[in-house]
Amino acid sequence: MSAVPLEFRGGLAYHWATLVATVRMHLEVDTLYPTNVLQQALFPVLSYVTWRVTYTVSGRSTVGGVGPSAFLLVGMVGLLTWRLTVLGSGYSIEDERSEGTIGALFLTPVSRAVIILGHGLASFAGMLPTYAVIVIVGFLIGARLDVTDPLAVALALLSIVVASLSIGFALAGLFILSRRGNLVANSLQSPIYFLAGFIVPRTELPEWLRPLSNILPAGPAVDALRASTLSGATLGGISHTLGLAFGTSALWALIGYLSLRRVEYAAKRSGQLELY
Amino acid sequence: MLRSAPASSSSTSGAARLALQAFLATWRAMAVQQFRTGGLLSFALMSVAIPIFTLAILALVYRGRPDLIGYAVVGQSAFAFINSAIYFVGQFLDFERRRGTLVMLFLAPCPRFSWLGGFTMAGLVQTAAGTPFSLAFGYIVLGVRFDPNYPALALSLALFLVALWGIGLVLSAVGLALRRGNWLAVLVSPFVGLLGGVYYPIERLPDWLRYPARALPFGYGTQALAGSGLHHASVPDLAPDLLPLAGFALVLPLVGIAAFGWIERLVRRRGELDLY
Repeated sequence: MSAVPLEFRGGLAYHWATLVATVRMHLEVDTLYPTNVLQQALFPVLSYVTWRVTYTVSGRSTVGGVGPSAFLLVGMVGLLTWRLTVLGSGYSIEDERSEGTIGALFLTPVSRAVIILGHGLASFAGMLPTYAVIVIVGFLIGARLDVTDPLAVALALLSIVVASLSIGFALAGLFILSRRGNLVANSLQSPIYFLAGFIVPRTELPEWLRPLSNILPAGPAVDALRASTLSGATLGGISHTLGLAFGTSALWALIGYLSLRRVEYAAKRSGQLELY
Repeated sequence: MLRSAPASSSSTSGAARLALQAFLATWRAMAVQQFRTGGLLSFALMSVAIPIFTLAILALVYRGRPDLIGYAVVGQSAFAFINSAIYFVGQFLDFERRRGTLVMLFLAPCPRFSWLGGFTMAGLVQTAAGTPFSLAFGYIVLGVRFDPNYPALALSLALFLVALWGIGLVLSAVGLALRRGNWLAVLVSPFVGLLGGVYYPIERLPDWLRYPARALPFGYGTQALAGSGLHHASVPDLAPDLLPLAGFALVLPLVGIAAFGWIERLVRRRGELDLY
């Protein structure tokens, strides 16, 4: 089976082979430089400790009804997933441009969506050890879980990954169009940390910002994970929040699919595809 | 009079003029490049949006603590200057390497520190242009009231920037050796966030974090800026912060120049200057 050339395999096998190749390539490049491995691993852990100290300095002993360590633990899982998948998936196409390979990529008959998904999943998989470190640090600094429904936790975790991937997919077109994907991706981080409730509860946001916060799938997804892991919520208790997270994710993924096609066409037509 | 000046004096003034011209030309080139590639949107996102949204998060964490909110406004402005110092030069060197022009830059017959100074100035001016927006956000939205002691503020800022320039040189040198200045900056930045007193005053840190924080210039600089900008503290009032800061401002540029020269020689001897 593996002797059959890629282009002669069936649709699903072809996509699968593309996905696996993209994941493998991404992981190899990502682990090539120790500086990169270190910075990716340390950033979320240090962010967690910094915000925990900030809450200690503020004198607040509870945040969103739980201790700051537990509240931030879930927030950091969301933050890390967001950071990885948006940078990993959305920025991947822009990265091809800076490497001078975007023209070649867009000449191949592979699905752009599969390429972006591959980069996003690889970013996520590559950082699994960091998730473990964050959880260990969380327990060391006093975070305690209250889980009654493991299925609710699993679906809430899945919703965070799906939410982040969908936003990364939606932003890929913007990154190509702007020709400064890195800058746009970095600039979006603080607003998203603010609106998605990674560091402060969304209930503390001003009333007029809540609708904006709701259309970002990461917000409801993190709320669902907090409820299922810190307050013992069941699947029934978080179904509405999960529905909002998956529903808005689907919307962003659709926007990404349409915009990426449009942006690729516009960039090729205006001759800007390989401009850097 | 000039014609009869000794040859050494004439060559010294010629070298100084060349260095100044190279400094101004690099600054201008970098400023034009930044503006043409990123434009106002890039400025608005990086220098205005990121600090403002981080301040919004801090304001929610420090709700009911106006003293800490005021400190955070100054701290985040200081953080922008710190990030400028640790990111800009390394990032520009990365760009030059990617474009294949790094070797030519090092072969140019002008002092290294003229074009390195030009890189630094481009970042500094962009950061300085963004700072008023953060301060205005603090004043208008967060209700922070400033009571500046201008001589103390000017001295604090001058010492702080000189110390940061030295640190920037050290990090650029290390980034040159690692071939990834930007990733090094991303690695260093969260340590600065934790220990640099940019989210909270370092005297509020627990002992195990306060001791390493006291070994860095960031906390002294931020504390001096906060004291002189918010509480009308005079130079004598700020002596406990200004004296260590002056020491850093004296030593770090010398260390930076020595480190850059040493690492440059090392990298050239190994033939790695334009390796990617």
